Amino acid sequence: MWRRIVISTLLAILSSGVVLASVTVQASVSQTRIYDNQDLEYTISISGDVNNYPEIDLDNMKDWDVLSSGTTRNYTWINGQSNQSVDITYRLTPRSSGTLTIPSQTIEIDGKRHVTKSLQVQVLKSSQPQPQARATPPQGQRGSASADNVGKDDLFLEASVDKDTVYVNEQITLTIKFFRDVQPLQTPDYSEPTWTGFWKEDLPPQRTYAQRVNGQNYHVNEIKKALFPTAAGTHTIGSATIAVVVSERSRQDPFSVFNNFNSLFGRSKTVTLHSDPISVVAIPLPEKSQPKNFSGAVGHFTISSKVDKTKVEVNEPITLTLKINGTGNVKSIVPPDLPDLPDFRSYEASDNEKTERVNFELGGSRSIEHVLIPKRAGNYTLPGVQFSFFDPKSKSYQTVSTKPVAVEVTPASERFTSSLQNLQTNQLDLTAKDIRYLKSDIGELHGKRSDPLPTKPLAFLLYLVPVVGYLVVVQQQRRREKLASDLGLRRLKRARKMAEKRLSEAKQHLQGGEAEKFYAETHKSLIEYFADRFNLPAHGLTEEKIREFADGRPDGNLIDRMVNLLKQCDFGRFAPGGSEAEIMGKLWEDSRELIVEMEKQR
Amino acid sequence: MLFASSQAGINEDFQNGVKLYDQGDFQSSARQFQSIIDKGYSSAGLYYNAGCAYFKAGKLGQAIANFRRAQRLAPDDEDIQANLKFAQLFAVDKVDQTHSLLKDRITDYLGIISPNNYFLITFIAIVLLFGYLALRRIGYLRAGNIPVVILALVVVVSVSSMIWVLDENYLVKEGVIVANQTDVLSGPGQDFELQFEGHEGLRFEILDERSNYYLGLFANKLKGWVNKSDVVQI
Repeated sequence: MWRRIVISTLLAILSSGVVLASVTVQASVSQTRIYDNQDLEYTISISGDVNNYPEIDLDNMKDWDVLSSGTTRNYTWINGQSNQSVDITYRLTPRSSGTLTIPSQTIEIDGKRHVTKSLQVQVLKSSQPQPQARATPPQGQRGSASADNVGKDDLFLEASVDKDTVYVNEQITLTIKFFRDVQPLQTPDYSEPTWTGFWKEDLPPQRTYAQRVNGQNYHVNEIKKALFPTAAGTHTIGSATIAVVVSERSRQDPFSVFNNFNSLFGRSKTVTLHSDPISVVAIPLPEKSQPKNFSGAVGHFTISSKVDKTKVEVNEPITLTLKINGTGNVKSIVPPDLPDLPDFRSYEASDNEKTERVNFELGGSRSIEHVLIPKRAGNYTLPGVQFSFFDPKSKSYQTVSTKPVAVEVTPASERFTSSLQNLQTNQLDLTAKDIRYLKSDIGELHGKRSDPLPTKPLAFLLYLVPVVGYLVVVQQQRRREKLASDLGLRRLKRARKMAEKRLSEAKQHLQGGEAEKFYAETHKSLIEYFADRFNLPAHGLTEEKIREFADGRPDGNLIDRMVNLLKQCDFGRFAPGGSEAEIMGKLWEDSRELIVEMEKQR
Repeated sequence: MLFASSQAGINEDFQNGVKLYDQGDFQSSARQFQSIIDKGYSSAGLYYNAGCAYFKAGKLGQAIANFRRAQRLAPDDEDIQANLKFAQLFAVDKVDQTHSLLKDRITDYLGIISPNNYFLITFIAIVLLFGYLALRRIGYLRAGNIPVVILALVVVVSVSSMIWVLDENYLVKEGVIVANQTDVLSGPGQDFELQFEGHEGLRFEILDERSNYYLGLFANKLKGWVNKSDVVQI
């Protein structure tokens, strides 16, 4: 029971954290020193349980005009405890100069009175009015409205520059301000001036503030641009234009929240405002004492360099980073060239810029990375890189330089012999800035129409050569195979050859006077020739068989002659005594002639 | 014979062109190289140098035309490829780079070997193929069909590649606009409708021609007639 009571008490204490948190009220100002044409923010912060807070009327403000107010509400939950705060911000403009007091305010919350401190603000007299702080509505540089009900001082557009004479590439800050004393019904349509002859950079942020001109409070939208003349001479910044839709019915309080309701019942009208063009004289940079390596940078810069390593192997890339830092147009800087490095191959790897806008002055840095590849081992010093610029403040050229860097290169290990090729081609492709150089050799000259060989159909006949060669081989091979398989054909083919061989043997016998052998050989050559021709066994061939097998082919006459010659051989063999060389010679000649003629009739 | 005797003189003219280029007189250098081309000579180096000189002299159309001619003679030359690519970056009409990437890539890939070399490779493959078949027929070789299949494949691939490269680079007639700007019309005459404006360096395929006009097929698949006086044929 007691435990339950303790727990519920603890829970009640925890959950009532909001109630326990005390309410505090504080007042603060955005600036404690202002000019009498400026305004400031006065904030009353209430923190704690501020679900309900009373309306605060700043009735006791004697030195100040209250222009507007706004409320910001924050809600946080930290360690189980909720905390709320409300900031009520007022925009105040001074009614006079001197040390003015913002009196303390009394606020009653939940029956408890909270009193803020009174605050002192020093308001200076704007003795030298700045371009945006004119005592009277400016006439020359501004355009104004021409609507009937909307007065010409209710809306105007003003353009001004901080300098009207500058050096080429020196910054001019252009300020365009849109003053309005009436509430536009729509977002105004703004067109930028023309910038011919200038390099333009935006200078954010766009500012919105209140300004008092000639006792009239204006709501001001201000944008700034940094302009850099690109060439010497007089250049004109064109007119900025803004089209504003306003209610024709009545003047409205630009800070009133009821304007949109009013506009529902009034007729609207578009008012177009133009700012006047501004002429700027760009003076050329002095030629006298211009450094050789000067490439147009204007401003104030420093240069530094950095290498990623100081001990490398041959072919191992080193990254050398040059960084140019300062104020001026960093985007238009031409990076300085590296000095001649005969012992290194160098490639520009990257070029990055970073712009900064400090106090509406353009500046920043430019980083250029060079990849250096040592060709030989040794100890080298990378000389300092020089960078020259023109400083418009001192009206002189200045040259800054990086420190030399010592690099130790040791002979290459295998790792860096192969990777070199890749690195080179990649880097070169990335940085191709011009066409490649000429070829020194004209090469193989052709006639005018030097079309390649295969465009000529006749060339394709060449392809047929191996095919034809192959077909010939196949044909030959087939014949050989047929011969091998056909005995009769083989005998037929060799018939003459064999016959001639025997006849020449017979002739030797004739010359040797061996008549019997001569007749026998001649007989054999004739009989065997016939047998080969007709694929017959040579043994047992008689006159009748010869006539029977020949069967008129070759013609009968030749067969008659053969039979006759065979008879003569037989006669000679069996009666060799009577033989004379002359008869044998004729027999031999006749036999040879007969075979030749029979061959012809195949 | 005439060809051989004048070769020395041509080389002298060529070196003179190189010298003028080195001196920075790109227009004279271009004229010098052009005079050799006009005499009826051609080589990859000559067209390449003419292209370089024309480029430096600010004649982009002539530069691209000559680099393209050089590329036809030496498709595997890296310098030619690099300069052609570089010069095309300066063309106003960027359509060339965007069309049929796959086809271009295949052409670039196959173009590494020249048509003459494809012809030679095919011839050698045919000789080896039929030589092998013949030896096998005779019985000197007792190997299987694998070499036959491989050699036949080589023949087919080589012949196809040769036809592709020829078709892309030689059989197709190509034109390059050399005038700053020219009208691409719907018909061969000034009375026809203007299709679009072509600018210096724009390449197109020549499909047809009339006395004064070429019918071009442009990379954006549009067809149109261009006055011959504003164009050089590759």
